[in-house]
Amino acid sequence: MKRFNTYDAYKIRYDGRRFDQIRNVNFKFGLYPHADGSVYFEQGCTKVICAVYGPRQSRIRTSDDLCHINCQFSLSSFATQSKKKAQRSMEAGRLLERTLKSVIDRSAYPKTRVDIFCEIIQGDGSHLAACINAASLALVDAGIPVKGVVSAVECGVTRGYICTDLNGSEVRSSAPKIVLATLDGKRESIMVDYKNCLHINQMERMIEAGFDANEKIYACLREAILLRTEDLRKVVAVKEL
Amino acid sequence: MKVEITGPIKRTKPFENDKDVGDIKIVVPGTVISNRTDFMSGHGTFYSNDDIVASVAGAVRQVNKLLTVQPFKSRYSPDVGDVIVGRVVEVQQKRWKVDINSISEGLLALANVSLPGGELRRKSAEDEMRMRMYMEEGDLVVAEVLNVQSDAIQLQARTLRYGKLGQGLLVKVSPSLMKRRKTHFHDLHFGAKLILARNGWVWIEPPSDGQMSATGGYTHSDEL
Repeated sequence: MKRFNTYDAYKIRYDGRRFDQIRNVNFKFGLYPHADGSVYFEQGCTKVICAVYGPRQSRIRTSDDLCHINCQFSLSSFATQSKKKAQRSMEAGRLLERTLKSVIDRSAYPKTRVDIFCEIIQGDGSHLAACINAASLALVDAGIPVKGVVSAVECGVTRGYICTDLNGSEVRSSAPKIVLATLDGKRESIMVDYKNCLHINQMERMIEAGFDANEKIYACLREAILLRTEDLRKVVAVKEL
Repeated sequence: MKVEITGPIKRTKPFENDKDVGDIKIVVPGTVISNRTDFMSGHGTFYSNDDIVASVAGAVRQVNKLLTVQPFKSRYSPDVGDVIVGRVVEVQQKRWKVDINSISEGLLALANVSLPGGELRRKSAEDEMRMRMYMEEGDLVVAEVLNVQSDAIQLQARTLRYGKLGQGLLVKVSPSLMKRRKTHFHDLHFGAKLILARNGWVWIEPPSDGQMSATGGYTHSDEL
């Protein structure tokens, strides 16, 4: 049975969003009290838990004695509709590590390590982007100095239209898509992960759409941090200088 | 508690510089606090071209020309003179490495410890061999921060009130809840003793039967 093409007819996607609309963002901090920073992050139906430990003593010595960043990205076995063994993606973990390495102030704490663990408990597209957003929130929750708040979004071409914040049914293995990460919502990318083939004329439009969507996601993350900071302020003693 | 956000919400203007709650300015990492020429950047801030930008989420504090951002929740960062409770993780040649829930481990040198019996004497080579008899991996110790360097936190346990801890209960809370006070050792009226350490570890000791003062803080348990 052929699905009615709402893309051409009404210029909306199958889940009711416009092409440039992001999904609902939901969050909860402090899930793991013994972790230095932890957050439960939802982007539509994609649910991610991120825990950050650090900076703490490290046995591993990096060059220049900088802080060692260790990222783990894993997809639970119950996360997607197809029953799979729990997967730990090395590639996504590396991308996450490189994104966060450029953002964390590594020289502030020499000879230490920061461990970031991301677990996708429900996957509905934009896995890497949701993990970057969650890790960004968890890092700020842990009080680790960062250059800014990282936001990420996954954009792709669906039925000929450039759509942002792809969900599970829109992410197809052969369709071109990019994961674009920016800092503080500015129009400068700090990480781009590009898959499959795209016409050169479309690339610029895709990146522009990615920047636009990132501004919106950044506004959500920023609001989340402000709410969390206000909550903490009520509980914690503010040091008198 | 469930909070749902659909895109940017109305009450915050996008890219508003900061949020004022009473007299305290709360910032998000990445917000520009001030111009470089007027102030110097302290903890929690960094220079970016001509601006001072916050690197943690917290309250902006200004002391004369120094701007710092104090995060409300972070790993314990020791100040000189803080009372801390730690757990020994390693016995090295002339010192113990102590885990104090901070960025790096604390170092308790043999020279900075008063030996059992309460005497303060110069430590000999034999004492070095007997370090393990006093404290080994897994033991809890109460000490004071002597010096804080970039990669090492030096501790000292010279007075009688510091040293190895015996039987009791350890409770861990967030270090941001511990205010600095005149004394961190408390005697509860029914005899139990309480140590509120600045690194967030609280030690509760059962009432003793007068042994403490005689041995100068050294307790020996016969149980395995």
